[in-house]
Amino acid sequence: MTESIPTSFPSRSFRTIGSHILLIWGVSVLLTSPVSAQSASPLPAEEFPSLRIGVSGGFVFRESGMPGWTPGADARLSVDTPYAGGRLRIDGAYRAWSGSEDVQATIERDGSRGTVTTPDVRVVDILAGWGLSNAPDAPIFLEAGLLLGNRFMLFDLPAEAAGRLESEMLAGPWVRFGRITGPIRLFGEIRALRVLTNPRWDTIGISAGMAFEVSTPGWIRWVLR
Amino acid sequence: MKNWIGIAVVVSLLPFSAAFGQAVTHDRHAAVTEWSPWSMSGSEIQATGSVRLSELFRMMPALETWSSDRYTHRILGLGLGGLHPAPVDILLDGVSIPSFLIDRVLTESLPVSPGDLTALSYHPGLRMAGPARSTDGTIALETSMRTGWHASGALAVINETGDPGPARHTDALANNVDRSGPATWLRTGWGNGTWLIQTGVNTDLHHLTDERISGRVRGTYSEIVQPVITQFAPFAQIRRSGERLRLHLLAGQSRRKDFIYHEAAGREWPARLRRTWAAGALERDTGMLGLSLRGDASRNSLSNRPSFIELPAPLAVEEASLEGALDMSWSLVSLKFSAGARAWQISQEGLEYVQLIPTASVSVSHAGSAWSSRIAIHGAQLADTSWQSSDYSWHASASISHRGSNGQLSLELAGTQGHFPEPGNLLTWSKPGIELGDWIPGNESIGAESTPQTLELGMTAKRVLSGSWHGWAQAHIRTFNGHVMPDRTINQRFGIGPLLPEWRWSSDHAGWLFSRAIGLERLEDERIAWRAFFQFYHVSSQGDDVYFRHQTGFPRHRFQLMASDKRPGGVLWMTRLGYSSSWTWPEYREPARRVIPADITAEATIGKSLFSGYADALISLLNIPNRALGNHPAGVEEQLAIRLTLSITPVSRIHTP
Repeated sequence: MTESIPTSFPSRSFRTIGSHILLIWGVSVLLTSPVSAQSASPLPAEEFPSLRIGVSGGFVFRESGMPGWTPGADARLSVDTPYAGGRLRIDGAYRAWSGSEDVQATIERDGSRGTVTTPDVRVVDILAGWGLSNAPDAPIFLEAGLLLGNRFMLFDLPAEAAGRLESEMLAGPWVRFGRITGPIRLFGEIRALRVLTNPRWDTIGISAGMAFEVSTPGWIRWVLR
Repeated sequence: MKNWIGIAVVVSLLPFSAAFGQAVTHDRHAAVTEWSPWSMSGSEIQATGSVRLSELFRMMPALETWSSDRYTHRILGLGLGGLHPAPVDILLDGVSIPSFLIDRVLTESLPVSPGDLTALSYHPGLRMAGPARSTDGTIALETSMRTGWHASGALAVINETGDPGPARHTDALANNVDRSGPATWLRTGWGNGTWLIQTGVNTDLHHLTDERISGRVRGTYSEIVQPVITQFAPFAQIRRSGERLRLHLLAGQSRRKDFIYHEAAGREWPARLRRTWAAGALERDTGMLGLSLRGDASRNSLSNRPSFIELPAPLAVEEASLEGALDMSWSLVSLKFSAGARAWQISQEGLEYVQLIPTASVSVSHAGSAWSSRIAIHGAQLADTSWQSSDYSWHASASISHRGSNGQLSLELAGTQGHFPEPGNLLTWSKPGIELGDWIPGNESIGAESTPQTLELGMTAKRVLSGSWHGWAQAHIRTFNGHVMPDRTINQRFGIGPLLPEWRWSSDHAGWLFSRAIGLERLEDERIAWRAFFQFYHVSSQGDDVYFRHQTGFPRHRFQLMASDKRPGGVLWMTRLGYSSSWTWPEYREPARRVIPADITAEATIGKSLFSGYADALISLLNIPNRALGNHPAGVEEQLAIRLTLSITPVSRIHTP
């Protein structure tokens, strides 16, 4: 069993879906309006008054650039707060990727092709970004923004092996939509991320979860200021 | 001899210029008085997010640097000296700090970082920087006199995108890329506006993971560890800046685990470089009379790290210079005499090569409110330990400038005749027979040389166009005669393969080079700073192939646009867009010789002041077009890189509208 490796990335299907995601994101940005537009003053009376903490789970809907691995489910934690007319967001995600046992390697050092076993890898994304949100008091909410951060990868290799721990930068747009039910927000999210490797490693992920809002502790507000 | 006719004409005209203008006070303390279009202000420098001098020099308008590997830089200035120019004079607050070794300026060993700087300017042209030190231009670095106790520092990492990431497990030929940093600098000290006592340290780290570099490194470096360059450079300084008395003493050391690349070798030298240095200046002004004493001393020692090839045996380069000057001024005119000496020794395994160079110089200058002029002659005698020599070298220069309300114009003429050897130059190392092993086999002296001559004419004009917009033009023409130059060729039969250059010195090369530039700038407080220029070269080798291959090797046409700003509230940004025309690396024989396509460079930085302006966080996107840098066939494939910089400052950088 050999797996063909696309000669160009992203693949056509990925590009098509990716362009749809970008279209949705663009429309979302146009439809959403800054929180500040809904209020009389350009900024809240108190900076960073609240933190919205969201927990969610999801899966990779499409990926390219990692032909030797299969993505597992992920767990995410996000924290965001009003800032500069939108929302400042910090996000973390964990996912395990299972290595395939018989991947046909592209080229071996001696010029031949062969079968290699790719190691399992555990991935942690740490991201930060900013986005726009529609009216905070509307029952249905829509948010969209950009995230930038680092992907940390721990490969299932001996401790002394070179390249056991790697990190690469990644960035991409996200769209979050949902419903407010009392103090809880139920949401779904689509996120397209590009890891800036060569070849590029792209993923489109879908997740669902809930978020709740708390007052910002004084020391966090001091740090954010 | 005809080269001197021009000097004689200008010199004979200069006294007449004294008839123009009103008297102004002679500024004895000004290190570099002339205006230069190649400059950056403090806010422009901070907006770049640079933490290394080399990062700053590389992006500075028209201060061309050449790097095969991004971690060593040769400062070419306007390219007037070709690919192997004389060292540039690094002038830190008026103190010259020699830092030239193996044909390059050791910028990272200097006791200054971009975060220290309040101004930076480059002044092209043949110059003398102390006794018998002929330089190709001056880089003037200015820092501030801090008051009170202070501490500052910065840290930056550059992460280049394009690493294979997980793909390295499925594609054994996936190229890795470099990582750089963290690079840091720290300062602490005390000052009261007149006195400053400061200590600091610069550290640096480069991970040579790029396949192209690490492939060469693997060919020489025999330890199975990741090739990493490290540097640790502490220093201390004491400075007094008064009306009548000025004092500046600096001393430091830098220790560097290095992989020294030289185009004559074609591969890296795994070396340990230890550099210990001190420099200083003392100036006393009694009104009509000014006295000054300047000196420096340094020791550079090079030793090896484990290697597969025979490396140069450990060697040391020691040099010292001292110069005293007497400056007398009468209203419009100033007369300055100076005398000094420079000595250096290169030693390797019992071999010692010593050079003593006593010097004397005299200059006459006139400074009016509109017109100013200066003529200077510098003579040096090249001697050995027995002082037996009749080899004399001369440098003469003359300049005249006019400054009006709408602009200024200056003309400079400079010439050298004879040798001004540099102990950090490979050509100097070839004379006593310094062995460079398999790194550069055959760096042999050619024996008797003819007397080299260089003559340069420069012109700089600046005019106010409208409001804060200035236009400027600059032209320099330099002629060479009787020079020793490297005859270097690279013959890759199949167009690829290891770099195994053939290198030998040959003499009596002549030709000329003409560099012209026009530019536009707008510099106004609290508004966007704009700089744009277009520069182009013309080289004539008059059929001398060695001269042509030596003097070319960079784009003939270059354009750059740079803008930066600091917004109220502490947001700062910078963007730079550049274009370089296509060119051919001339030392490559067919079929390896190829045209390097025109290059477009773009980079941008945005940052925000934090903690009431006492810290800055900046993010820079470098090489946004994500293209390989074509500045050298041995260079690396460079991808889009992201630099994160965090700096703390002793003075709040927030300003309110």
